[in-house]
Amino acid sequence: MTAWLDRLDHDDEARLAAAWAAAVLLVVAPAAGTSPDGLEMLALGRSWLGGAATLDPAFWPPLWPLLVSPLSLAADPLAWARLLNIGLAAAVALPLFHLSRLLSGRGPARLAVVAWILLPAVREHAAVLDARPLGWLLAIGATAAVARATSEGRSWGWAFAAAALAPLARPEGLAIPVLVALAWLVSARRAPAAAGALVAMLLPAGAWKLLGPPSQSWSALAEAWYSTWTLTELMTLYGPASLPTGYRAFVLDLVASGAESVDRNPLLMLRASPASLAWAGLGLHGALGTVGLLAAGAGVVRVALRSSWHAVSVLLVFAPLAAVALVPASTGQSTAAANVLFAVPLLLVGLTALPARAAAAAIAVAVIEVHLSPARPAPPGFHEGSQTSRTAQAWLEAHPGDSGVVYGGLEVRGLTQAAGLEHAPLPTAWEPFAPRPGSRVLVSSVSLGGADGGRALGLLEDPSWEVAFVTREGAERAWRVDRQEVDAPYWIAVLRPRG
Amino acid sequence: MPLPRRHALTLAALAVALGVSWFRDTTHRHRQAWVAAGWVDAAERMQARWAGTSEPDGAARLGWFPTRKGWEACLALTADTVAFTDDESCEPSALAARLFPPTGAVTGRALMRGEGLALSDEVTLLPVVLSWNAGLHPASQPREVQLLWASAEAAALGLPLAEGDSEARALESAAVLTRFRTGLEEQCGACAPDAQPPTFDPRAPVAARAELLVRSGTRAATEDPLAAVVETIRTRGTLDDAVWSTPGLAGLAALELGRRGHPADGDLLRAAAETGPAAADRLAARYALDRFENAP
Repeated sequence: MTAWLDRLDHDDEARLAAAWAAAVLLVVAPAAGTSPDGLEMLALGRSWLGGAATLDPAFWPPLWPLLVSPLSLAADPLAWARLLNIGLAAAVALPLFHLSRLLSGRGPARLAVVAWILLPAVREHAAVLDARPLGWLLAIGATAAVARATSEGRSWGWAFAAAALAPLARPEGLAIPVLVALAWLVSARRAPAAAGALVAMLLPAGAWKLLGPPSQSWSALAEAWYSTWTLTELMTLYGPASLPTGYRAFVLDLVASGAESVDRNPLLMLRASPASLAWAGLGLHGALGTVGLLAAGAGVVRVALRSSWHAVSVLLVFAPLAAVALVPASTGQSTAAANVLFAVPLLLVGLTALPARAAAAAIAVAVIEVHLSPARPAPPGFHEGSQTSRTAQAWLEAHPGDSGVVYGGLEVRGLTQAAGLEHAPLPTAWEPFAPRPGSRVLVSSVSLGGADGGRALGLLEDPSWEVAFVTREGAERAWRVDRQEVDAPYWIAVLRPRG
Repeated sequence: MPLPRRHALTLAALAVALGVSWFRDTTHRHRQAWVAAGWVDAAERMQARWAGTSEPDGAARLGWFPTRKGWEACLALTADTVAFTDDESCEPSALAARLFPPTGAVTGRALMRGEGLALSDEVTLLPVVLSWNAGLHPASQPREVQLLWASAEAAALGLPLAEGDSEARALESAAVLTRFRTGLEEQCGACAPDAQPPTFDPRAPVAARAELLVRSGTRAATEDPLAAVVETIRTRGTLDDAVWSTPGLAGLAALELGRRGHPADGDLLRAAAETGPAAADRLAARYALDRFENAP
């Protein structure tokens, strides 16, 4: 087998690796993980083809919504979006193979690809509907393209293309054009040209920012509060990230008008960063296991010690990981690994730079560990894909109400739209609430425990409303806002006007 | 362009994997839809079957019920509420805990108000609001159920259960089964759980806890400054200067005062909008003042 592979051109072998990675991931990946972000991005893609408008069109980087836009018109868009993401995760094998090959040879490159497709975190997150697998591919793709351009004399085109697309895919993608421009500067030693290339690579993201829909991003509000409350507390008070409550709109208008000066001191963010760093470390540990992480770290150090050029490259390549790990908002994710998995291919490249037998043994132990360890993190789970949500959807389909409007938090937006009804945000307790006659309200364990708890409790206390239906499923591990892990059954109650 | 022979195996594997993957993914969602349809159907049939009937104690019917698709769902019914579950806690006690009212109405309402914006015990709170919503009167409940509720509410309030979980569960089973065992056997025969005699005297300690709860009438488990501010405002208390000078708290207090809309609060809101301890507090106070002054 090895001899047969050796006879292949290395480009052919990389493509073959990606194809087999796709075959394996397709079989082992779980059903589609319907994250709220993913559903919103699917809705955004559909809106560009004439679908209903989304809550905040400027909130999401546009590249993944653009890719799924045609898929959103299919009979089962979730299934197609899942296939797309698994394909993107499998395509990571291609640049992963090349980068590891350039650094350590073809044998270690094969090992890196095998390790990539055997890690449970990869297959579990590949099936989640969001832009992260696209971010993985662009991060390792740009790195490998730079490596091929500098060591094999290949064109820089792929590196520039991946770097230009990366900021349109993920927030941390903004670092990629900078890194590619730095690499070009070092390689070509022409500062003006590198600066020009950087501007060109940032042009698409800049154009989207300037010419795209106006931003209503909650982050502008969050910044104002960094000196007082943590982001988690903000989310608790003011609701899901992209749900534009009246208060949020008011504050953003105020900030935009310049009527109130707001301290925007990024150093204040660092106050919350130790927890974020620990969270990122936890994520990498969950993905690679103790042995895998230690071996990868040793391999990365080994690469860095080869030359000053290698050391600088390693620092630059892992800079986005440090940036992500330091952002307090990165802790509020479905799993600790969610935001840092883009660094795993790079770590695997480092791991396979160890002596061949040590690398093979470390990968074998790591794969066993991450499958069998009792400390293995739970796979990403979302309320939107739960049986509870599906049952509430079925009830709404049977009893839609006269107005066709359902009020609720972001966690029930997907099921409401899947039932063919209009979703309207449930206002906070301090905002006026005049529901249309014949409407429904969905109250869940999420909204009752979070920002809109006051409103939900008010309705449950209100004698003019009644609980028509309650559905729940078994206890599941969940993170409360105070960072305690609890057994929290997810339930949804459907409220309707009494009588 | 003919396919290279060496790629045939790869392409075949990809095609098979694609089919398996598609089937696995879509089957998952079809199964969810199938189960959901069965549960909704069962709930509707229960409501139709028992429409207009009433229990001697005005309480709920509960138990296992087959659905049209062969699934069993655990359901409970009051005059206008259906609740069900599919987890292993499909026990009479779990369902009773959803549908019976607390021992004291004041306690239940105070609990709801006291939780305010800082809810964390939503699971145990739900039965309170469900039963309240269903209009069940506390006095109509048998004493065993009152004791059961005292226990559940103690958990909701974060009070320790001195006897431990197992005895509390035994109490719940005993309390419910003495009341509903006959009905359960009528509905599902052997699926009704066996009556478990309590292994301790349940009345004295739990009754003592119930009295404690009624006396305290508020959440005693945690000290949350945000919840304390909200509760103070909602109970017409006076906020001290520390609240108005604390970043974060001042903004929340302003929002809550703005929601109350009391004419006397206008000056407080204006002061907070101008001299709030942080920019965020001033923003919040200005929002509250805006709503306050333009209230319909």
